[in-house]
Amino acid sequence: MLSYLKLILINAGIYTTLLCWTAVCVPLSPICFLFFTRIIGKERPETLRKMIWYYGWSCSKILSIFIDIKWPDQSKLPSPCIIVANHESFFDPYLISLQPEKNICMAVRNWPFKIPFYGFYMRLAGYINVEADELGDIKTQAMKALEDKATLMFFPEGTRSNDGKLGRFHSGPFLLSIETGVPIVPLCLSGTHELLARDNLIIRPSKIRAKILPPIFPDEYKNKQSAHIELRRSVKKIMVTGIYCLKQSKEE
Amino acid sequence: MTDQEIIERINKALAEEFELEIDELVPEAVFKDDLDLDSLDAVDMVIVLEQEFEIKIKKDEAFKSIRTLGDLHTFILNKKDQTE
Repeated sequence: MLSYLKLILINAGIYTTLLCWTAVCVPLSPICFLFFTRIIGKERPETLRKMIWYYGWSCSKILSIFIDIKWPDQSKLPSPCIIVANHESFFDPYLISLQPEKNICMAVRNWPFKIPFYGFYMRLAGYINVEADELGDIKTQAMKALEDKATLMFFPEGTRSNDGKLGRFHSGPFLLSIETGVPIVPLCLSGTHELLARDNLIIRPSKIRAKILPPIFPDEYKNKQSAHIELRRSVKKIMVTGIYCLKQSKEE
Repeated sequence: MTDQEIIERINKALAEEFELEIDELVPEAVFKDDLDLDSLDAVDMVIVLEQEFEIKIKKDEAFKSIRTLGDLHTFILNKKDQTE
């Protein structure tokens, strides 16, 4: 009985506060955007990326009122870098604030660009549509973001995991790493599948933990045949171990 | 290079890229239903085939109409003919 009550409280609390906070952010964001770009003179895509990061961070802080979330201690990443994270839940893109870099350019599938308001901001922020765009355009957009000192972020599985296990990786981020020499930084997330699994609407209590693994530089893979595939395999292997260690540490 | 050699190279490249077994790669195999590959995999397919054959592939109507591995074989064979 108590556990049912707890579940109702968690769901009502999270959904209500997140919806209310989003309802506040929607009218507030154009004012902030115009202030920073027109009055302070900041770059448009960078401003939006940072605004999105702060939105994700604030949503994560709201989540942490109801759910046990621990941010990693690491405060700095190599710049530039390509972050790759495992993807288990709807909340993962909000939890990008578990890593410290704010100027994040995300690689996203086609459907989120169709969400009203979100899609418009994602386009303005220079997010990359890896599903609809041509390979050449994807590379050009990624290079442009790196030139603008942004950090690229990919969920290399391309979709949320069905069972909480790490799925097959797509090649995009690894090819970019090989071609640009920019290191890959794996971000391992744990507990988000238990929090809200795919095709589920009920949020469940969970311990959310994240670990930022040391950067993997592409230099040693560059001269190998199928370099990006070798790099992809190495990163996945490291992440499997990283996620396993994270799950073990939660149980201790 | 013969057509058969090109087809074998396509299959080998796809098997490595998508972690598939060579036995699965029959011309009748439908990408979505039989090989579990979706539209996001099309980007990876372009990457691996451009690297393998040093050609440029645009996601034009001809590419978008590819449904089976056999369609892809024909598409690449035509591309190779055009570039030679």
